[in-house]
Amino acid sequence: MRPLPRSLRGLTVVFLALFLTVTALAGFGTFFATASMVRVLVDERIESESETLVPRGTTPNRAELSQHIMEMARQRDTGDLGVLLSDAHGNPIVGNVRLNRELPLGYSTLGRQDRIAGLSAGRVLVREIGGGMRLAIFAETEPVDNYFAARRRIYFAGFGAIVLVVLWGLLAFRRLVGKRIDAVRHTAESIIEGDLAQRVPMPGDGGEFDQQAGAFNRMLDRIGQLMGEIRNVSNDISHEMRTPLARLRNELALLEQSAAAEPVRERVAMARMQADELLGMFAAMLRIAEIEDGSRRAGFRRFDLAELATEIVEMVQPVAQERGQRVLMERADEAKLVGDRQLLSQLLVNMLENAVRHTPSGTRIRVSVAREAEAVVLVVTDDGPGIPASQREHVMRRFGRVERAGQAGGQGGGHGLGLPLMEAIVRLHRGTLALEDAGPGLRIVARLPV
Amino acid sequence: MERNFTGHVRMSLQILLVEDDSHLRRQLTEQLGHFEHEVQPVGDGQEALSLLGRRPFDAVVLDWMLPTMDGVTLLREMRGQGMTMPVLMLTALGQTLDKVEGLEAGADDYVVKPVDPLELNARLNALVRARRTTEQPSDTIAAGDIVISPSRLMVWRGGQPLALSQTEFRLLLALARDAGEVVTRPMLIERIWGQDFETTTNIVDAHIRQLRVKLLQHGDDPIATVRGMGYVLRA
Repeated sequence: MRPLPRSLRGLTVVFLALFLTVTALAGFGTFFATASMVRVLVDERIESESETLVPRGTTPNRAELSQHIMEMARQRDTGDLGVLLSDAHGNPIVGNVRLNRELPLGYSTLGRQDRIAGLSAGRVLVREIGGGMRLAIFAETEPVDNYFAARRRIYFAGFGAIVLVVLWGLLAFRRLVGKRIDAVRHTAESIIEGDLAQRVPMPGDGGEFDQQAGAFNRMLDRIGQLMGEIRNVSNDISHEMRTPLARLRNELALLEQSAAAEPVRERVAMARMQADELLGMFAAMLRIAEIEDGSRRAGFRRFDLAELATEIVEMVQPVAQERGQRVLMERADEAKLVGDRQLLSQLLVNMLENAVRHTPSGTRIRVSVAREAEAVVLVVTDDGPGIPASQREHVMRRFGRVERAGQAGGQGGGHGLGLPLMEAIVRLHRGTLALEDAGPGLRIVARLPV
Repeated sequence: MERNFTGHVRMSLQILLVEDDSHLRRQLTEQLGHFEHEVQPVGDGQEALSLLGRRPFDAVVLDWMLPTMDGVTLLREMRGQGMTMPVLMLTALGQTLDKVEGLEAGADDYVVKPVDPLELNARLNALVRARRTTEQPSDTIAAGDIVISPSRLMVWRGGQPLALSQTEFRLLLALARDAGEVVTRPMLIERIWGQDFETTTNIVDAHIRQLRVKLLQHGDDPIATVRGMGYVLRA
């Protein structure tokens, strides 16, 4: 068993239970302690009165004592202090109190059942004082009538108010802490979903939560800065390598044009195409970087994705036909959305070219644009060999390619940046891209919120 | 089927090249020189502006990122002074917004760095030709025995009407506008689909093959493939 619960809720429950127990115990304790303190004080008082009346070790004269008691009874308020002198048989001789029972020697507690006028709770001391006489001194333990009941009410009201205040405070505290934790979690989740610009809101009061939010935000800034630096380095490398590579490529292209002999020209053309592939790889990296930086959102316009998809299907159709494949526009709901038309064209071209390049002759490629409540769902499905579930995550990564027996990298392999580019485009539109099993074949689903 | 494009009629253009990177400036001057253009290289905007005031140029190749006077300022200044010659701007990859800004400021075309001289040459030729032909607007465009009517969406070859799909029509029109000149694949993609994107399959070539099949019904093949570059429609 754990000594303490770890959750805020568990801790609150345990704290509340402890608090209530301790408060109740303290209440009862105080209640009974004060009651017994009052009894001790009253006992001391009646003993001292009794001693004053008949000092210990003396045998009083009956007539004198009776006289004395009568005077005292006349002077004193009967509710405050009572005196009763009785004989050996319990018959009263003199006093201001009448009893309905015989009292034992020593101290006893009196209550309402004793029917003593003006006394609801009290104490009595009964002494043998010689000569067969007994002296009883009475005193109230309640300064006013029904004092105990009133005290009980005061205790319940007082402690009840404390409990309520603490309960309210605890709930308010829990709400405050919960809200702050939610804010941090919310920010973290937005960042996980790719919105790196999110920051924890700052209450602005300079308190612990403010400081924590500040530290968290500074950490995010630092991470962003580090990511930016890494991106800059890879962008710089791409830029720097592109220039000499482009020069090489241009030399090869010029050579290709001027080469007189066909075999030489073939070889030069091969070299030029390889340089083109490399340039394409760098271009794709830089393009992904540009998309990820998000500035293209400034150029978003409203248009119909279904119309665009129909156009791109028409565009890719001849390539598919030459490879013995068929591309069908299966569904085209009107799908107006706000986005980058050029990038979404690129997305569609990539989705379709992907299907065309990675499937054999005879494959059917189906395209659908469906309008849902809060998103436009673009799906390209083929009935080709598909991608095993174990490799789907891998191919989404940069330079990740499908490893398939009997298929070399070159033809149809691509540079492994197609899917990351598609994902970057979809993410720029705050959507999601998923690879699914079409059994048989592959289904690429781009879900774009509207 | 293939034809070395040096066999075509060549335009010799007076080109002003504004580029601050001396290495690239030298390379582009030399490479455009291969195409028999006369290139005047300058390193900054002020110098370019004073040169433009003194002598005529057929076209300007303008780097967008210049140290003292940037490309957009120079271009606005030029257009403000009534200079209407075509301007082709050079932009860095990943600067889409610059590209948009440039086209809005009055640039006629753009090439993304690193610059492919063949692509640059093809685009410069196309720009200058377009300027010259718009001076005499005509309803039909002719290239060899092919006649195209853009307004009526009709095509004839040797007097026979051809039934082309919309894409085939746009493709033929794109080639015919620069008949006798190389039109590169990126240029074709832009002209047919109105925007540029990267392709990993031979989309343009497949459309050309479809078009060729229809054109061959009424004669020989009027389209020549230029290796590593694009296509030429016989003028």
